[in-house]
Amino acid sequence: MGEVRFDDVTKVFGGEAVAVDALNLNIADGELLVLVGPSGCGKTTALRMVAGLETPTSGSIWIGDRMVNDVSPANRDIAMVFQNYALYPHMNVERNIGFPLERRKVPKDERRRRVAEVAEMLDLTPLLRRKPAQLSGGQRQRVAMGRALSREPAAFLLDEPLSNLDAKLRMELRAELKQLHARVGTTMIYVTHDQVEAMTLGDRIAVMDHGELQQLGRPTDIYEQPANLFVATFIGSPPMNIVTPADAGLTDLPADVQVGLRPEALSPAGDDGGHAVEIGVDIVEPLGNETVVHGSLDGGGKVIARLGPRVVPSPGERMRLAFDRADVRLFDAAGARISG
Amino acid sequence: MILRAARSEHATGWLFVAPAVILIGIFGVIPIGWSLILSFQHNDLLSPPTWVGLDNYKALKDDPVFIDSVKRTIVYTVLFVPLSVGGALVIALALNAPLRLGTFYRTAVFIPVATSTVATGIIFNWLMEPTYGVLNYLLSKVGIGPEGFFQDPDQALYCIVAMTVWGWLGFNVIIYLAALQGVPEELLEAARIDGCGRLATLRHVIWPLLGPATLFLVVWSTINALQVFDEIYVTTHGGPLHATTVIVYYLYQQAFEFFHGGYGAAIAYVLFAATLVISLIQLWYGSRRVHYTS
Amino acid sequence: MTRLPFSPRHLFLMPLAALMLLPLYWMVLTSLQTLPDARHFPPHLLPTSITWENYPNAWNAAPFGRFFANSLIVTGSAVLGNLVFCSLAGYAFARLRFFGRDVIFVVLLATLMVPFQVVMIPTFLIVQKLSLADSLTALALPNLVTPFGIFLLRQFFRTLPVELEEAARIDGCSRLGVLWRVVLPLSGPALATLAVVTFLWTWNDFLWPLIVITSTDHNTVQLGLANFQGAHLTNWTLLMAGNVMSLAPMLIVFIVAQRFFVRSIAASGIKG
Repeated sequence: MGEVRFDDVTKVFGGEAVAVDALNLNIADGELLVLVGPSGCGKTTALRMVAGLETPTSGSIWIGDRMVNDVSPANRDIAMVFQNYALYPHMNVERNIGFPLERRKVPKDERRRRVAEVAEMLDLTPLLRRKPAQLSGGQRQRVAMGRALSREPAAFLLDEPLSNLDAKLRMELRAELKQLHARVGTTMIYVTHDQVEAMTLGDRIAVMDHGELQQLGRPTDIYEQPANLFVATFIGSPPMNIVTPADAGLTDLPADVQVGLRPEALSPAGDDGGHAVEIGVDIVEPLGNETVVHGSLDGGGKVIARLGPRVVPSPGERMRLAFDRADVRLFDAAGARISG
Repeated sequence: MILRAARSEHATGWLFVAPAVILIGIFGVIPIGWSLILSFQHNDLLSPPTWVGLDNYKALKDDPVFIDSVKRTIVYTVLFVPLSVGGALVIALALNAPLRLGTFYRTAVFIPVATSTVATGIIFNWLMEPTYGVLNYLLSKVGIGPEGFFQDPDQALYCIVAMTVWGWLGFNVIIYLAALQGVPEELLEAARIDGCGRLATLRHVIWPLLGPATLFLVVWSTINALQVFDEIYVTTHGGPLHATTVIVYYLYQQAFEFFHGGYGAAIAYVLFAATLVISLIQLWYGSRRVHYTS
Repeated sequence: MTRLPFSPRHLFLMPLAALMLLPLYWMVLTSLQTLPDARHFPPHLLPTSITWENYPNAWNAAPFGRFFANSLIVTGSAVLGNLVFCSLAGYAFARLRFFGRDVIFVVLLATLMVPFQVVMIPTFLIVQKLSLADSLTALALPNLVTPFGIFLLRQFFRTLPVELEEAARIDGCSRLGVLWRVVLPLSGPALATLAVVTFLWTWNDFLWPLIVITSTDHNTVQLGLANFQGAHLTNWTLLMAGNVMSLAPMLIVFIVAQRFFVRSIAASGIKG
C-alpha cells in the first residue's frame, strides 16, 4: 500500500552529472525512513523521483504495487512538504490545506470537515483565516504539513522541512513530526543533511554519498556498526576519530589500516597497561555534563574525546586515553569496513 | 558642536535638493498652479488675459466637439488596455520557457518599444496606404476588399488602436516576464503535486501572483491611453472628419492652433481630474483583489 | 495529444514575431527601392532591385545631421542632469535630515501624477517669458530633473547598508564625498536604469518639441521627421529612408544592449 521501492534507479543530468547511481532501496509501509547525506549526495534527487518531479534515467520507482515512472505527480498518491513550504501566498490557511482536495473535486462540506480535522491535529484552528505572510516560520511549516495530511496519501515526502527554522523551533517540530508519524502511521520519506535529525527521527536511515547508498539500517545499528569510513565519520557528533595503528598502539595491524574510535570510547587511562592513545591536550570544553577534550597525536592528526565532567585536564598537558579493543572499528585504506 | 553638525546637515540637505526643487518648482509645480489659473481666463498666449471665472468649464460641458472627443478617447482606451495588457500576458506566458529561437522571439517582440511614436506613425501610414500600401495587398489575397484605414472615418480609430498596441506590447511583455520569473519554482511543483494541470496552475497560482504587475500595467496603460496624441498627429491629424480627434488632440488644437489658451487649460484639467479618478478607482479595486507577497 | 517535433509555442510565436517585424521589414525594404518600384502594384514582397539613392537624398532634403545633433544635445543633457541632480536629491531624501524634507518629497512625487498636458501650456508661457522659445535650452531645461528619477534613486539608496557611509564619514568624508565615493559606485544598476529610461523618454519626446520649436534648425529627430513627412507626403521611398535613418541609432543600441534595456525597463516598471 504505502511501500516505496527504488529498483536500480539511476539519474543522470545533462548527460554527465550522475546524481543517483543504481539505487536499490525498499521502504516498508508505514516506515519513517530518513535519507541523509552531505549536499549533492543525491538524496533530494531521489526524493523528487518518488514525487515525479524528476524522471529516472534508468530503473523503476514503485509505490505500493504500481510502477510509477510514467505516472504524473498528482496521480501518485503522494504528498510533499518543501523546504521553503511552497504555500500559496494569496490563499488563506484553510484554502491552502484544502487545495489538493479542491483539485480532486471533493465536495465542499467534506472538504471543510477534513481541513478542520487536520487543523485541529496541528494546532492551526485559530489561524485558518490568515494568509501565509502573516504566519511565523513554524506555523507555515505546520500548514505545509497540513496540506500534505489532508490528502491522506500513501506516502509523505519531506524535503529538509526544518532547515529554515531556528534551532529551538527545529527541536520542537522534530518531536511533533515524530508524534505525528506515530499517530497517522503513513510512510514518510524524510530528506535531511543533519545527521542528528536523521538519528532522532528515522525508523531506519539510508546514508548516501555521491549518488550511492552507503548504508541502510536502524540508527543504532548504523552508529555501532558503520559499513564504511564515510558512514562512520558522517554519523555521530563529535565525529569518530580515525587514527593509525601506531597511534593506537595496535602493532598487530598492517600500517595502512584506519582505526576508528568514537569520542565516548575514550577514558582517562589508569596504570593497568591496556590499550591507549597518547595526546597533547589542545582545547578543553567543560560542558557541565561532560568534558570534551581536543588533542593532537604525536604522529600528527587530531583526536576528540568525551570524558566525565570531573576530568578537566589543562591545555598543553599530555594525556593517555584508554579504550576497549572491542570498541575499535577498522577500515581498510579504501575506507571499507574490515573486522578485527 | 552637535548643534553645528545638525545645522550643517540641514544646510547640506537643502543644498543637495536645491537644483531639483528649483527646476521642478519652475517647470512642474508652478505650471500646475498656473494652469488652473489659466483655465479661469481667456488667454491667447500673447496678449494680456481676461478673467472669465468658470466660463471655460461651462463651455466645455456644451461643446459637442469636446464631448465627441471624450467618447472617442473612451472607445480608444477600452480597446487599447485589454488588448495591450491581455495580449502581453499571453505572449509572456508563451515566452516564459526555454525555447530554441527564444532570444529571436524576445527581440522581435521588444523591438517596437524602441521605435518612437513618430516613426511608428510614418511606418503605418505607409503600410495602410489605401492604394499602394502592402496591407491592402495582403488583404486582397484573402479576398477582403481594399480598406480605407486611416482615410476611412469608420476605421481610423481602430487603426490607431492597432498601431499603438503594436508599439506598446513589448513594454508590457517585459514587465510580465519579469513578474513571471518571480514565481518560485517550488510553488509550481507544489501545484503539480496537488493536482493542477497547466490551466489550473495558471488560474490558481500564476494569475494571482501576477496581480501586482497586472494592476500596474492596467493603471499605466489607461493613463497613457487617455493621453494618446503623437501617433494621431503624425497619421490622421485628428481626422478624417474628426474621427480620431481625442481629448489631447482637441486640447492641442485649441491651445496652439486656435490660441484659446484658457480653454485648453480647462480641457487639460478636466482630463487630469478624470484620469485621477479613474486611476484611484482602479487602484482601490486592485488593492482589494490583488495580493502582494511579503 | 499529438507530439510535434517542436514545442507548440512556436506555432504562436512565429506568426507573432512576423507581425512585430513586418512593419520594420517593410520600412527598410521600401527605403531601398525606387519610387516607381515602391508604388508598383502588386507590391514586391521581396527586394527586386536595391538602390541606395534614397538615403543621400533624404539626408540632403532635410538637415538630419542637425536633427541628430540637436537630439543628442538635449537628450545628453537630460541624462546627465538627471544623473547628477536626482543623485543629489535622492541621497538627501534617503539619508539626510533637514527641515521640510518629507513635505517636499511628497510634493515632488505628487507632480508625477499630473499629466504633461496640464503643464505644457504654462510651461510654454514661461519659456516665452524667459526668451527661450524655439531653443534647445527650452527642450532640455524641463527634463533636467524628474521626480521619477529622484524616487527611483531614493528607494535604491535606502537599500544600501548605512554602515558603509557611516564608516566613510568617520574616516573624514564630507557628505558629498560619501555620495561620490561610496554610494554612487554601488549604485550602478539604478543609475543605469535611470539613464536608459531618461534617454528613451527624451529621445522619443514629440509633443513638447512640437510646441516649443519653430525653426527647422532646432528640430529634434522626432520633430524633424514629422515635418519631413509633411514635406514629402507621398514620396514613400524617401520618407522610409528618413525613417530608417532616424530609427537606426536607437534600434542598433537596442539590439546590441537588449538584455540591458529589458532589465532597466523591468526594474523601473516593477518599482513603479
